[in-house]
Amino acid sequence: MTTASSACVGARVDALRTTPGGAAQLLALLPENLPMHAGRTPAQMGRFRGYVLAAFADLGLPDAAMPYVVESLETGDVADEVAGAAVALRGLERPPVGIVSSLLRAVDRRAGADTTVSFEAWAPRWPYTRPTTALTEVVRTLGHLGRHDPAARDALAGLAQRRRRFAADLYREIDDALEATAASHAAAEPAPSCCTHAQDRPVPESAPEEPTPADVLVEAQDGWSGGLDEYLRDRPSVVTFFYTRCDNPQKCSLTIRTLAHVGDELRERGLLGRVCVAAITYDPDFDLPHRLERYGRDRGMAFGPHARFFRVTAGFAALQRRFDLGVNYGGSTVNRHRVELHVLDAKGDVAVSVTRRHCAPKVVCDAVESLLSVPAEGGQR
Amino acid sequence: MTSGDTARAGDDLRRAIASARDDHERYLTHLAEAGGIKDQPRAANAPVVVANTALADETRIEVLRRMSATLGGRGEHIETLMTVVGDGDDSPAVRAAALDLLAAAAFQVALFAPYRGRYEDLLRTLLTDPVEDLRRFAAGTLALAHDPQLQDVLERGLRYEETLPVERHHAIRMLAADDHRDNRRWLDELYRDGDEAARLDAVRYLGSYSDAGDDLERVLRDGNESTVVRQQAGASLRYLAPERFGAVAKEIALDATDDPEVRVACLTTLRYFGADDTDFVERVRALSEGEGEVAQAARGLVEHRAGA
Repeated sequence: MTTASSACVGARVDALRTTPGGAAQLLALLPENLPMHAGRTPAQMGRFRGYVLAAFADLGLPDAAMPYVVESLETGDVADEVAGAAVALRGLERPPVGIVSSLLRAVDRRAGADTTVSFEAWAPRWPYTRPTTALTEVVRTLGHLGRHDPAARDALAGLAQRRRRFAADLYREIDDALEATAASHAAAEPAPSCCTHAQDRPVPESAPEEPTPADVLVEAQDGWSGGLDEYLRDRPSVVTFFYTRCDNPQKCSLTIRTLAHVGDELRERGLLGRVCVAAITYDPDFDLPHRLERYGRDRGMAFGPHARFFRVTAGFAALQRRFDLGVNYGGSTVNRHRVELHVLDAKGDVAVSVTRRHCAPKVVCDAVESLLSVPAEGGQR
Repeated sequence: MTSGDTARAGDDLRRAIASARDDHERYLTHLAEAGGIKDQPRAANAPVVVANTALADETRIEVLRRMSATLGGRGEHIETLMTVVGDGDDSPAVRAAALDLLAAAAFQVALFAPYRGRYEDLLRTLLTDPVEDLRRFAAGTLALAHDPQLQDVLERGLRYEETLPVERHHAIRMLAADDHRDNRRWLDELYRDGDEAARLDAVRYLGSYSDAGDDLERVLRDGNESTVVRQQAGASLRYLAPERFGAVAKEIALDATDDPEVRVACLTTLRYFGADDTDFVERVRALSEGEGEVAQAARGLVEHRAGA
């Protein structure tokens, strides 16, 4: 499948907005690893995410789209995708539990960087005829949710108290939203959570058909090289993915910092050695061992025989298939990726995956510890 | 310094401060006369004078210069500055001076937070301003932020689909600021068609492309290329592929027919970042017995390795 031109993609999304069953078809376009997204720039990927999510406001937001919405609110660094995620929530009648906190996290990240965007067309030209911002859409969504959810009303009231933080227009939006929610007397409880908040509970993944292929060869930050299956075999492991040129501080930098904490906690529990920890770069040609080492150390990673960072030197395509990696590439490097962490059992099969959200180190350690059933075998890897 | 010198320096400083204070006082009086506001502190006249298009450019620009802390330090004055910059009928010189002050104010993260969105909107609008300096400033600022609107404008302009806001090679440099974009075709153009400064930037940016090793090595080896561009190609190659750079640098360092400055750069880099290679060090030792900068650099490498 060739990369669809940007204009074709936009036309397709616009058509699906008015097509019966369009929501399901739009949902199918969201995964970042689709071939249609290869070759795009990160800005185009963020724009696409936001534009598609915004369409769900009219079509209704399917449950399966919620992880994408939460991901964009909590880790999105493109204004369009944060705005689109906020708009998407207006496709729900009742908010899921915890979504207000995700909206507020988006406010904290975008305040002071509230770039003007527009969903008036797929590729609007400046000046926009219907401009908006991510924070404007967050406020409007809080107003929408506030008809039923006291937490949303409280959040709006809290934002109104933060003086000199936002543009004057946004304070007017907040006031309008508060007035609208005050007029509503609905006291219904929020809908049960329709998505998993991975802070609390990682999602068990069905076992893949095969373990890591033997022909995936890796080189570690300390120069060790061999088969990845060799490293992952015979003991449970925690595997995450990143790349050193990621410029979104909410993604790879935080991922590795979290992994460092996982390593520390495993060490405190006396488990490091019975389990191992690995981070694999999405960008093996650029992330040479010295870069892997520096990136990890700068984020508190304590390296050792059971805690390594890798670049794949052969078989990366097989690895992508193996983990169904949520990554795609532009002309120079990664154009978009999801946050992903996998806990593997001693056979190297994925037992638990956490994607699109960061997971608390304790939860990860509990998950991997639960897989321990036999002592570690001898021999250094 | 003697105690007398210290005392004199102190007296000079106090006189300078008093003189500056008196000068500022006189200026504030002059400002109040120009602005006409009498029932508020004289500094309140600053935004009035800046916004008054009937006054001479020199008067308004002087206010922007002298009262920068006042004008750039309060939200309502930032609004005034944006209005001046955005007025296409106003003096280009005054607009440029106001934009400079706005850009400085933008560094005050907390104060500027409520205005940053409008500031970016203003910069996007300036991309089609008739004043070239304003267009270039706006484009440069948006480029650092990887603004998608700017990137679209530049990409379309480079493809001749619309007019570029800046000169073509500047446009390429602005796009290249985002290493997550595929700018290879533009960087190749910059190197192929550009002057030395452009070629220097091209090889610098190529250091972000994993598949640029062949190109960078070719430039590093190119005896017809300028020294500074070859040196930058070496730096980029070392960033991208340290071992490959090391191999090429050793060849160049030992090549008596090559540019001495490039040889010195290679030897200096290998001195600090080269892997252990006793055979190479012995060959460099032979170089170190001569005269000139290459021999001196060779001696530095040998001595460094001996002490390591």
